[in-house]
Amino acid sequence: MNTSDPAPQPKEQVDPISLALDRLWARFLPEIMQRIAVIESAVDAVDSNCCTDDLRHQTHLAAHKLAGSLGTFGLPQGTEMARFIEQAFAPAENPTSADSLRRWIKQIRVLVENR
Amino acid sequence: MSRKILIIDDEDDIRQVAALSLETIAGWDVIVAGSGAQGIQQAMENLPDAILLDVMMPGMDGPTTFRELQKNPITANIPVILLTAKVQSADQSRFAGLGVRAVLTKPFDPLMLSDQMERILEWA
Repeated sequence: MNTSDPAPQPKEQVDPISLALDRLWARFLPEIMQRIAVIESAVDAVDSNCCTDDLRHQTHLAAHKLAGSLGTFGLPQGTEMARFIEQAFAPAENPTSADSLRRWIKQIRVLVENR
Repeated sequence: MSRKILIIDDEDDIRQVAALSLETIAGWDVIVAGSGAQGIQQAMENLPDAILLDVMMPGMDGPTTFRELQKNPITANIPVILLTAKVQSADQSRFAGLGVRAVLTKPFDPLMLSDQMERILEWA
């Protein structure tokens, strides 16, 4: 070890904003995962042709909230896919095909779990 | 110069990230409210220099909250910036007619939020 090397700075002194955002992410992750679970339930229901109006409304809301927060936490691709899901479950819509929905929510889950 | 900002948004994660951003990067004082009604109360009590107001909220939505703020002479002159999801940006002409200072879209970049607000509010 070269004793003339400067001691490495603690990460807190280097990037306090990112660290604080990471702490907020950890705090809100359960809520984000819950929103993903709601959407996954709805996708299964669409696949089974038994998606109720209430579930469609809850899913629309969950997707809207995901779209708003994922990009803010540095996952803009998550926001884009959440928007597609949000539009698919908009009040005037009645999704009948689960294929794209399943693909989008699966990708969102991967992004969230790997952030 | 330190500013006082009121953030009105029903989503706790958005409130926390925006507050973190404005407090840490810009050094502003931040007050938060989780609903339009709470926001109006906070605005009257704290007289913020500006308000960041979410559009889609249960109960009293953003535009309705803004109209209520405008009716009250105590809060009528506080500049308001609406915060809305991208899919709702088609309503921008409707928002423009309200008299808000600007509309920002979600998601926002927490590292850029205070710069954007400074430009809009001409505080830079």
